[in-house]
Amino acid sequence: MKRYFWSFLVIVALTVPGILLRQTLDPATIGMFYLLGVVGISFWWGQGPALSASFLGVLFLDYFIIPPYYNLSVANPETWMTLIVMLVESLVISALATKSREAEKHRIAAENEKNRNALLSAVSHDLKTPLTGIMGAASGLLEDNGSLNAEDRIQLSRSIYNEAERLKHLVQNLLDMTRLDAGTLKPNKEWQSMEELVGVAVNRVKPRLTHHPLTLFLQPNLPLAFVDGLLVELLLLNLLENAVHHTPPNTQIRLSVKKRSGQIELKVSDRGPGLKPGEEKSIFEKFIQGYHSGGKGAGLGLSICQGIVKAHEGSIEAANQEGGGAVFTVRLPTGGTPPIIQEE
Amino acid sequence: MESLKQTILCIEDESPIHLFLKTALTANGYAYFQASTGEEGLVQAATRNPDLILLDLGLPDMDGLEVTRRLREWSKKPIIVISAKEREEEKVAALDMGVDDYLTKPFGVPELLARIRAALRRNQSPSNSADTPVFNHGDLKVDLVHRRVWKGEEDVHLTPREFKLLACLVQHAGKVVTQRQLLTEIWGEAYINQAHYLRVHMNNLRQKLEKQPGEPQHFLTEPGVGYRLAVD
Repeated sequence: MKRYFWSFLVIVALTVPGILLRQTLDPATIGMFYLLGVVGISFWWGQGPALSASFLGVLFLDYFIIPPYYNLSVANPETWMTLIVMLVESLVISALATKSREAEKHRIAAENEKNRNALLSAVSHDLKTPLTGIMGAASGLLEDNGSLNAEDRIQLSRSIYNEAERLKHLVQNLLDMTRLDAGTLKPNKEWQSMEELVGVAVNRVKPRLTHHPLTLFLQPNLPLAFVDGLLVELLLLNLLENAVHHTPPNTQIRLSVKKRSGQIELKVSDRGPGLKPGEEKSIFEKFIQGYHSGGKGAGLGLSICQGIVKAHEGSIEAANQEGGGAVFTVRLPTGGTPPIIQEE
Repeated sequence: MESLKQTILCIEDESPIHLFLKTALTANGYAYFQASTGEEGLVQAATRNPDLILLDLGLPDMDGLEVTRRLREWSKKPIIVISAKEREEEKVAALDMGVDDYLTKPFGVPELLARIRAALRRNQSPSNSADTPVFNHGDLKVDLVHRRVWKGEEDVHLTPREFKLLACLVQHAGKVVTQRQLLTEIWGEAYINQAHYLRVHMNNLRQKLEKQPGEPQHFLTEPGVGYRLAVD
């Protein structure tokens, strides 16, 4: 009902300048105002209000604008023609505008549907791969009629464990991604110690670092930074895991943290195959994997990083470094002057 | 021999988890009892008086925090929370309510066994400073009575505040101590929201006592929750 009320108001509002200008302008020209009003109404409030506005518009046109004023009678057949044509135009326009509005709705829905399908198929593929491994290995153990030796059984169990680990990782990434995507994750900023966040991330990634020597460079006396500790830790974790994933064993990974003119600069560099030209931006997109990734992971890690950086109003960029390998540079605002700690 | 086994009660509504825990824990010499609701868990805790309780926070009939509260009214036995929930506030609430430790699902058997052993050990020899005057872990040695700290052979000087923080962690060695607990104990109630005091002093401790402050071996951060002093 509200929509009808508003569309009624629009017609009334258009009548005011109409009355003021009825001496100078041709009624047909003033009729154009009403047409414009009907287009707007059908766009904002849909077909019903547009139809009633069309009839109301013609009625008002006749009553207020076409002489004799304040009278519904019409002086000559020409005016009748104007009114009828006006009404038909108005009805056609409202129908067309409504139709294009519906079409736009459908287009957006189709787009969303397409994105959702792409997302679902990528996710289900990534979920199914480890699940297949788990089910296969488990059924191998279950249906064993004595032909498996101890070594086989250990291998199957290990495979179940490793695949479950992979699944856990993926589910975690998906959760992080949805939380970031939905914008529900407002950064919970506190004055954090970068050394501490680096320590947590490095300790967490360490089990996967067995074949990648990690060099850490922490600038001495880094100031506290006003960031969300859990998110920055997640950022570091994802950058380090990304480096482990995409580089061959026994290549160096380096993490450095420095202060640079009011910002904290985090750099993770590796000695892997680096980025293909043109990949610098696209690798941050969801489900996009780097050229060299060989299909490992779900392509979520870096888009999580980007989400986190955005939430902190910082920047992230990827490039190739001199001498080979990729380097990811993150800059986060420190958030001003840290609070003073009173020494004892 | 049955009676000498240490008993563990697990309150958890998922039967696959019971199966997995039962297999793992009985194989490692514990007697395992299970309950699938909070009510049942409280009854079993009272009748069986287990040495340790594993508690899932997401129970069908009752909030896990409520179970904790009711258990803590009469029992001092260690409680380890197992939860799929990622919400740090909830872990903190459980810890502040007297839970000893937590594990986030999914976890592996070695991790579970380590936490159970640590909790049982702490419970057997309540680690007040009189009982365990000297703490040793790796190259870190702390003598609480004589207020001395060593990193390997080197005698390290700490400020009074740093020592107080270290002492507090030593008294709860192996256990997560929440930021709130540390802030209250060392700076007082008024500082509960001043976590950066803690971070700066923890940085100092790491600078002085860790081989590589960026890869701490002793002073572990439990993100969003608190700190844990590592034990073997």
